[in-house]
Amino acid sequence: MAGLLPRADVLIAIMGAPHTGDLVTSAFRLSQALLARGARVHLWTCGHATGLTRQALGPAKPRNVVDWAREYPTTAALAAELLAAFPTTLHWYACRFCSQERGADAHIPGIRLRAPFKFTEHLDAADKAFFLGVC
Amino acid sequence: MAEYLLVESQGSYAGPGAEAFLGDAVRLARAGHGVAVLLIENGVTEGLAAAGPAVGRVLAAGGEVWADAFSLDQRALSAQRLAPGVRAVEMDEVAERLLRPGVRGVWH
Amino acid sequence: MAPQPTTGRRLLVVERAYRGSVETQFADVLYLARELNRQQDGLDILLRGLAVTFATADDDAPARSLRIGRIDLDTLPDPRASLRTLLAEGAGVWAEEADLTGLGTAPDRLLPGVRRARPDSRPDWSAYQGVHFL
Repeated sequence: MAGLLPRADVLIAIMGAPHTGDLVTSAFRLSQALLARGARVHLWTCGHATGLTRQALGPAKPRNVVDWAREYPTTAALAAELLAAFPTTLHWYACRFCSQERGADAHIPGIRLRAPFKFTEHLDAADKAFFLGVC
Repeated sequence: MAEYLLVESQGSYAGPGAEAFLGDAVRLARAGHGVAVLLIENGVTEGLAAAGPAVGRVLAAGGEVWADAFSLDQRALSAQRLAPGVRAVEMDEVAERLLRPGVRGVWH
Repeated sequence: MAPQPTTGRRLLVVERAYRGSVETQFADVLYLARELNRQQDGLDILLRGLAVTFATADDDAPARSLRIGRIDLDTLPDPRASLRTLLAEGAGVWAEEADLTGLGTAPDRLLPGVRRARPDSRPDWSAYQGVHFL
């Protein structure tokens, strides 16, 4: 089954929850740096991190009441941008169970739902893997 | 011998895990493995001159210690405040190291 | 008999810092504090732990943006700017001296208007209407 997945140089599994620390920021930064070097990257989100690419987030955050005219992109919009910028070398997967458990299984285009019992296939498909945070 | 890129992201404010993880780095380095420790996010505080001795032990064991420049800037921590031997790096350098054949990465 | 508050103000203690730059952007803990300060017509904030760095000015630190895909994300949290705004809007701000020292913060690096919380000079909980950790 691992052969069905594209190969990756690095798998970055975002296991920890957003808004609790800067692991999502690090995941974006490391992905960008790897992709800019031509590396193949897989992102996997588990737990509350599956909400990063929830379709309902839309393109912009709610308005900042003290800077009403400014737009702030959502993580879904940033994920879409990263996928668009690196369409052949970035693949983004979300855990199906965690997504459904949190009502977050409607993701933006480009996010592939995968069952958690397939996760080792993703590890096997990557030369290296980082787990950021814990579920 | 293996090459390791060990990433400490939490720092001692999150509990004793950071010191234990840096202890892992010391053991690997003393065993003869190549070790580079990247301090990132709140973990950069471990690289300050005012911090505890854990990072010094990594350096003494022959490991490299890097501090993520972005995380330092976010926290208004000048690179001049880093302990001797700790070097500020950008993420591109981290990516280059991680992509080297044989380098193993572990994130804490 | 329990001591009575001597001020109608509330004290907010912030000790957790740097939580979600990319996902939070403007809507960080100081954004909430600013709104509470507006609703309550003044409050005090005590910064502890790594949050004391919200109150430290470092001239060497450039404002950072992030490259994501083909865009530069320049809307990351700016806690020092947020704190200056809070001070200008009447909030009282304290920073725990022990934590400043632990981070090697020089005395001249504290933002103007921020007070050092020392054993002999610190917010007195009993004087506040409420104390809340954010």
